[in-house]
Formats: sequence, C-alpha cells, structure tokens
Amino acid sequence: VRPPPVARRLWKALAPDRIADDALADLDEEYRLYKHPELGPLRASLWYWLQVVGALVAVHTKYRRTLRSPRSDLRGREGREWTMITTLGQELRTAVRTLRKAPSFTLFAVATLAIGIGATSAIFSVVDAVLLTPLPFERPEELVVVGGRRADSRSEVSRVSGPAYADFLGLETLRELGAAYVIDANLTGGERPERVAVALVTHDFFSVLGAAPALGRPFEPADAGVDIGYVAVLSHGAWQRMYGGDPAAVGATVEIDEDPFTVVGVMPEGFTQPAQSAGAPIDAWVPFDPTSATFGNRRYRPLDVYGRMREGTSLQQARSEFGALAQGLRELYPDVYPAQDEWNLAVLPLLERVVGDVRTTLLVLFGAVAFVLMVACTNVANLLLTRGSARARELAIRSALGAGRLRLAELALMESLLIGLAGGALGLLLAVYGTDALRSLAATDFPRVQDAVVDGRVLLFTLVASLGASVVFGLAPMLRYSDPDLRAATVEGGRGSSGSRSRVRDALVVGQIAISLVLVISAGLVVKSFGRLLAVDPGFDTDSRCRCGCRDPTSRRRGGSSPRISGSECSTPRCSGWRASRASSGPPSSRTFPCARPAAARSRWRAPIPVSAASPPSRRSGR
Amino acid sequence: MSKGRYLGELEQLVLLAVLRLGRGGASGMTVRRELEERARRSVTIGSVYGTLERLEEKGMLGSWRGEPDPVRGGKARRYFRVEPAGVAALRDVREQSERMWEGIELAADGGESS
Repeated sequence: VRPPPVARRLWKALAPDRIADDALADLDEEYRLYKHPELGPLRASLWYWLQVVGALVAVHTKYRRTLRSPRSDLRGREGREWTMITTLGQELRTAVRTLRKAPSFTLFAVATLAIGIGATSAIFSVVDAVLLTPLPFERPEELVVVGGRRADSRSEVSRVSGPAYADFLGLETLRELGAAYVIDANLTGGERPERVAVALVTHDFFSVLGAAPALGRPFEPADAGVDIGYVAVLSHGAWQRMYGGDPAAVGATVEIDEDPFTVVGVMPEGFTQPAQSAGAPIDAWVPFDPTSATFGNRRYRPLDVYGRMREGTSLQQARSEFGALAQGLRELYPDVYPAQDEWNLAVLPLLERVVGDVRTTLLVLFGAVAFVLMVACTNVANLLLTRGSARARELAIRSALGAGRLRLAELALMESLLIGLAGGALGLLLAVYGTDALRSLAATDFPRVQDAVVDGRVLLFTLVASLGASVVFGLAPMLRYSDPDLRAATVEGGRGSSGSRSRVRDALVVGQIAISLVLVISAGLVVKSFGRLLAVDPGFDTDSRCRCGCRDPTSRRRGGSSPRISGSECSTPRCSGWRASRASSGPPSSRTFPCARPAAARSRWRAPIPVSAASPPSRRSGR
Repeated sequence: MSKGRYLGELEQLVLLAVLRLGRGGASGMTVRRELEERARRSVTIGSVYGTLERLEEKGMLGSWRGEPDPVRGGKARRYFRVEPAGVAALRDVREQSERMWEGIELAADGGESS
C-alpha cells in the first residue's frame, strides 16, 4: 500500500525541514495502518491529500515562527542555513544572478512564454470587450429584442412587420417597446454630402434604451407626424464631421435623401444603436410611426423591435406571452404565416442578439490560445528540468553548504516567478499590438470589437496568467530541485537522469505533443472548412465576371456594401473592356437579392444616388 | 499564573493527549488520532507538530528517538513525554477552570441557574 506519491513529494518539497521527515512518516504510517483499511483506497488518498494541504497551510501560517527556526538540539547544519539564506530578498538576488548567468536559456524561456501570454491576453481583451462588458445602456439586463423566427433558423431572429409591432404594444411582460428601421440615405447639409445609415425609430426608442441626447431634446410623440416626422437627431460623429461640434447645429436643417429635416438633438459620444446588422454605424435618427398605413402590410417586415422587460419579469414569462401571441397570429393570418414555416416570435436578451454566434467562435479561439499557453508552459518546464540536471552539481553544493529542501524549492519557485513575470511583461507588449491587429482584422465580423483595449482588466488577467503559468511550469522543477534523491545521485558522482526524472520529462513531452496535435488538427479543420466554403458552387459562372460600382467622389461612405450606380450609368457601358453588363439592386447570392420591397417604400427611400461627378466603372475584369 | 505558563486550547489538548498515551506511546501520529477520537477534534499533522514543537520550546514537553522501526522504513520514531513544567501548567489551567465553574449549573435551555 503506497500513499499518493505526488502529495508526498509536495510535502517533502514544502514542509519545514525540522518536522518534514517525522510528520511524513507519521502520515504514511497512519495511512497504511488505519486509513487505507478503514476507508478504502480512494477516500484514504483524499484524506492524505487533505492532510498534506492542510498541514502545509498550518506550518506556513500559524506555526511558521516555531518551525522555521532551527531546533536547539539540531543547531548544526540547519543553523548555518538559517544564517546563510535568511530573507526573500537574498533568494531573489540569487535567482536573478542564476538567470543572468544563462542568458540564452532565459531569453528563450521568456520569449516562449511571452508568445503564449501575449496571445491569450490579446484574445482576452476581445472576449472582455465583446462578451463580458455589459451593454452601455441603463440596466442592460432588462433589454430584449423581439423578432420572428422560423423553425429552420436556429438562432437568428428576423425583423417583423408594422402590424405585428402594433400587436406587441398590448402585451404585459414588456414595460417599454420601441422599433427601428435602418436605411441607407444621402445626408446633405454639412460641408459635404455623405452616404450614411439612417434609422427610422419610434419616438420612445431612446427612452427604451435609457439613453438621451447630449445636446437638444429627444423625440416627442408629436414628432412622428402621419408616417415620418421631419426632425432628426444626429450621432456625435456626424455632428463633429458636419458641424465641427458647433452647438448651433441644433435647429439647423439637414437634407436626408433631399427632404429637409430639422436637427433637434445630438446623441452623446459612444452611443451606437445595438444589434444593428449593417456595417456602418447609424449617423441620424428620424422619428416614424410603424403602425401607420405605409407599413400596414404584414408581409413587409422591416422592423427591429427593442423592448424593456417589466421589473420582476423573467425571460421565460415574456417568451410564453409572445409564443401565445404568435400562435394567435398564425391562426388569424394563415396566408401570411403559413403552417410549414412554423413562424414564431422569439425574445432574446439584447446582449445575446448583439453578440450572436460570435460567442462560440470567441470562446473556441480563447480555448485555442489557452492551449498555446499550456504548450509554452510545458516547453519552459522541460527546459527548466533539463537545466536542473545540468545544475545538479550546483544544487548539490548548495545543499552541502546547508540549504534545506524548502530553500531549494523556494529558489526554484523564485526563478520560475521571475521568468513568468518577465514573460508576462513582454507578453503584455505583444498583447497591445495583438489587440490593435485584432481590432482591425475583426472589425466587420465581431460586434463591439472596437472597444477592445488593453485596460486594467486585461492587465490583471495578464498578471494572473503569468503567475498561474509560473506555478504550472515551475511545479515540476520545484519538486525536482528539492528531491533528496537528486542530491544523493549527484554527490555520488553526478550521474545522469534517474528513472523517475525521465518519467516526468516523458510525461511533459507526451502532454505537449497531445496538445499540439489537438491544435494542429483544429487548425487543419478550420482551413479545410474555409477551402470548402470557397469551393461552394454559387449557381452561376464566376469566371471573368466582376462586380463594380462607382462612388460620388465628394461623398464619404464608410463601411457597408459597395456603392451602387444609377440605372442610366449601367445601361450605357462606355468602357471597351466590357463584353456585357447588367445591373441589380444587390449582389447575387446575398440575402437582399432579389429585392422585394413594396413600391410605396421603395419610391421614397430607394432613390438612386444622384451621381453628379461619376467616375467610370473600374476595369478590373481585364477582358 | 505567569505568562510563560499560559496554555492555548490546542496546546492543552495536546498535553493531555500525551499524558493519556503514557510513557512509550506518544508519537505525532498517536497524538493526532487521540485528538480525533477522544476530543473529536480534526487536526492536521502539521498543526500537531507545530504545537508539539512549540510546547517543547517552552520546556513542557521532551522528546527522544526510539529504535529504528521497520514499519517506518527503518527510521526511528520520535516520542514525546510531558515534563514537570507541562504538568504544572496543566494543573494551573485545571484549578483556574474549576474556580470559575464553582457553583455554576447550566440549565437545559443554555441559560444559567444556581
């Protein structure tokens, strides 16, 4: 019957020399004679571990003073030790000196860790910004989005129609309800015209989110007029660009698709419309009434609906209420909501809607970099162990001069901590650049990624990661350094590694290869999926076809899809490189193709861009 | 009672355990088991040794090594015995405690009646 070997080793490494052997023999004896027969192997091992951990805590806290001073009858070897190495500062100096004596080892270990810690911290900064930071609205946990959901789409919610929105207004579980309809429009009135995203919103939209203009006033019920009102609230960005931050902008007139709107307010800096699907942020809000006749068709579903739950209402209650409503609507309008669609109403927390599928992607990514960090840790642990055998003679001399096992363990731990902290500092530098790179790489794919910065929380994470990594890669060498067998082996003549030592190293190598294999396989799968995605047959010949548009050089359109050109431009190709050209309102295979909006809305909001000084279509096709 | 003879609660229990185990049987392990079984106090071997060492430093306990023991891998067991200073300290604690308890009866509801 053998007591748990790792627990024994831990005790030997960390217990004060004065009682280490006696207490260990006592523990072993009790384990063998009583606990193992009485409790069985599993519970006896648990007992042993609890004893070791509890005893280590006790001897290093309550009994530290008693046990660390040498026993009066043993004031020999340990007495010298006590005067030789007394303080933590001395151990720190020793560790620094040791590491400086092996610069290439130190550099390699620090660089390896820096890569692991840097990658983990950079991804953490994104995880923090996207997943962990609450939405910048009042009591964001109460906010939900309501949308249609067909049985075949798993997570996505679709927009709803004006009449459906009107049906929501009578429901109990939501305290406030607002709707938004995002369009592309020309914004003129400032120094230069712009193509921007404009949101038509219900007058109480801002109050649902708990936001208010920083300047001017929010919308009032009367603003919406018959279907849309001719007042507007500008975003902070648009206000800065168009009016240079002049407060006189409130009261000025801007033109949105050539209709005049009076500016009544400016939203605060940093306010963005949540869960907005288009790439470009909203630059202007205009009040509208989604229950008006313009939006009266149930098949026409342009509205994003936001709601705030009544206090004390659970998401489940809201879901069952909307589920009942959906069932009623399906029965009432079987031609609009056909049975085979299994159309339903979904209520999602706003954060979930904003974050969407990105959550899984990000967590997988975070797991992957955590694996990289683990590989880095095993690498450094292996390096330290290899060095441990090379340093066997030095350790033997230290031990002969009176350094106890605890001292050697502390020295090893100090070295690990120094390497870990240096790696963390360098990793932080990498994380700063990595976060910048991720921000620009993932700008269009991840919501809220623009907020990712290396801040105090990331700093704390990096520190914890470095300390954690130090303990992880420092544990094996620490147990090794303090092993008395090593001393015996080296004193006898500096033989190479003993059996158990190579077992630890073998285990490390095996673990490292296993983790690396998982990473390589996952990366291979991702590349393969991506390759398959590229090879998907779109249903038409893409060879020597290209898509082109043109832009008004005086406009500054940011993000979103590429600009469109007017019909007259398209029907008269003046460039010799073209064999044929056709126009469409959206790219093939996109969700808006073919576009099916009612004529009433299109005539008003889908006017072609007035291209005053158009550049010719590009000749990128070459043939 | 002078400060040097002050006994902590665990120190008192450990001294009593060593006394109970008699001359010949008090090792770290037997003291730990005695505390667990008789005093129903679950303590780690670290706390037991911490207390034993502290008591030895105060001169209340003495220790010696036995013969090499095959059960313990050929290592000699360390035994403890109570020194006169320990006996005196225990007596002080008991007398003090008895003086304080004199005339006190605890009622079933936890209150005090006399």
